[in-house]
Amino acid sequence: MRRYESVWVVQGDLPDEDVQSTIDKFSRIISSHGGTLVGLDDWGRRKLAYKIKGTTRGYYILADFAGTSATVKELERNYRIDDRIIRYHTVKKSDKVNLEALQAEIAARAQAAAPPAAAPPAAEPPPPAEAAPSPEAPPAAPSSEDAASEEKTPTTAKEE
Amino acid sequence: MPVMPRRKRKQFYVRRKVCRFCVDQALSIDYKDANTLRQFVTERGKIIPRRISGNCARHQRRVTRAIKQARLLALMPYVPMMPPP
Repeated sequence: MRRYESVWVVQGDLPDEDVQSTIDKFSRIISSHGGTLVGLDDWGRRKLAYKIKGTTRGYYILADFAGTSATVKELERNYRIDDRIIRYHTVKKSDKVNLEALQAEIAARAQAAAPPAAAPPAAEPPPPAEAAPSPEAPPAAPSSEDAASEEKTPTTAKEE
Repeated sequence: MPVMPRRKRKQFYVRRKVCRFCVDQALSIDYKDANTLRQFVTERGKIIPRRISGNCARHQRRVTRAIKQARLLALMPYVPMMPPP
């Protein structure tokens, strides 16, 4: 297994459902052809540096995955078939993949993505102890001010 | 024939350029990072030669490759859209 990174560009004037369907489709292709998807990175709509097929905007999605040459072959074959894809590019990141490290990375990514969902339940229990947060708040504010002043000093030093 | 006064040769101060990627190991060359790569192309979108950019051979190769990859994905232009002169 090798580690790859693949970027594809969806025509920018297509609705979000189309973009989502490409994500689903290609993620499935990766996982059904001996690949393991590590993460997806959504760059959103960007202005293209030049016109492609008459459009000036494109939706960029990056997939980070581990797989074999067959995975990449199948993925790129499908990129070429799909009319919504205007550009694609696959790069090999490394030749060897440590499966354990890979699983750990996937877990870490999932956890990084989870907190927005996991945080609200965790944040709710503390409110009963409302007395506690208020004493905490004043010390927190000066520390942030300190941080701000610390941030400022280097810049002034540079200016001088 | 009168001897022409030899013109004073213009002084060139050649500051030794150092490869910034060698100096700062934290800097990475990545085709996705078009803003960094933009420092290595001219206004016309041409790749700046090593002679001028000061990159070492190894890093220049990587920069060149990254720029070409970025162009492919329309992250960087082959020929910038410029207003007519």
